[in-house]
Amino acid sequence: MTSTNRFGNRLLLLLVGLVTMAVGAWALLRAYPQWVTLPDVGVEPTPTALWIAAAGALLVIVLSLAWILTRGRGRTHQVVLDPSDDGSVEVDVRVARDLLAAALEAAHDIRSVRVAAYRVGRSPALNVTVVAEPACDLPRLRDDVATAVGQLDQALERRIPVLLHVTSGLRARRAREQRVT
Amino acid sequence: MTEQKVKRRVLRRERYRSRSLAVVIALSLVSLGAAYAGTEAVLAALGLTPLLIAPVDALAAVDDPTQPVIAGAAVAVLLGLVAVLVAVAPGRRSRHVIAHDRLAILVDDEVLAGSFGRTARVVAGVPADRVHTTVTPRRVGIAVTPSSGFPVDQPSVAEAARQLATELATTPSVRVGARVSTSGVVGS
Repeated sequence: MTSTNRFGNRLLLLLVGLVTMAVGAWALLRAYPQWVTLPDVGVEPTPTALWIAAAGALLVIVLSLAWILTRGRGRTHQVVLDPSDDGSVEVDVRVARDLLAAALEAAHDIRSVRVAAYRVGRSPALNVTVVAEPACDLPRLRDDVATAVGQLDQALERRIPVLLHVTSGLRARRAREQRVT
Repeated sequence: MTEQKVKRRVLRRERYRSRSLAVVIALSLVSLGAAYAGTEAVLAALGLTPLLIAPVDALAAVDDPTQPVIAGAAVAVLLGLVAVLVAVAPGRRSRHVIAHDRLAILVDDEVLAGSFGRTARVVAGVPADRVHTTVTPRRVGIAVTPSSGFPVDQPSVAEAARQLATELATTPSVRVGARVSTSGVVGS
């Protein structure tokens, strides 16, 4: 739920891949002049050219670092931020976390609940991750979480967009249950 | 953004894998290469001894390729190909969206399989290890092996599973197929 630009990531990866392939292929094909004749590199490493190359390398490093460090942003602590004339209302994500955890404590088929807040666009949204039992009753789990979120809506007096992600916790675990009912 | 818009956007994003890790790895390699090339360029410009190879010799090596240059070029082509494939691949995660008016719900396919398996087990009245459920993007397959002497009613299993599919209204939507093995198993 981060605000990372996914399309930008793909585009950059495609660009880096194509340039790497092109440079590699060009160097590789020089070894087989009987197939294709390629011109020489044609750049004399004069001091000016070397300084320009060094500056270019520095630029690439700075831009790469900037791109890397801006991945995965968008996490926030505030689920409600209401500035008004007489002070402002702020609600921390821990409030939502505690309310949801308390409401879902007695729910069936739920092993654990994780709650995180992200800014989507401008407004905050909640990411509720529920680790469910391998053979869970999904409709009931869905309704239990919806009820808990309804209580949260009432407590906060507003509706925050909620993503419910139901996972089994262990990726490779086979859905099995030893108990016979 | 309205709540509906946020829901749609979040669901669309979370159904696909992020390329952040691949991009971080690719850019780190590019940065390392640039750092090395830049260092050699500065050393050569100042007339100092190169770390490994001077730029003038490196260019000459590309013009007249030797074995290590050819190997390096081949590795570069392969790495570039991997990056292009990762960039272009759909990267869909094995998850389904469940319709709901308040929540945006994403369910991992293992959980979906477990839920269908549970429904089939309850209707068929067999132990859990006799039900095998597989979930693919557009299909849920349920295979039940009955206990010998206790026949399982295939239509009712299929009907219960279809009802669950209708209730969940997943995206992508799934067709349900239920099979009951003709040969039962003795015991338990």
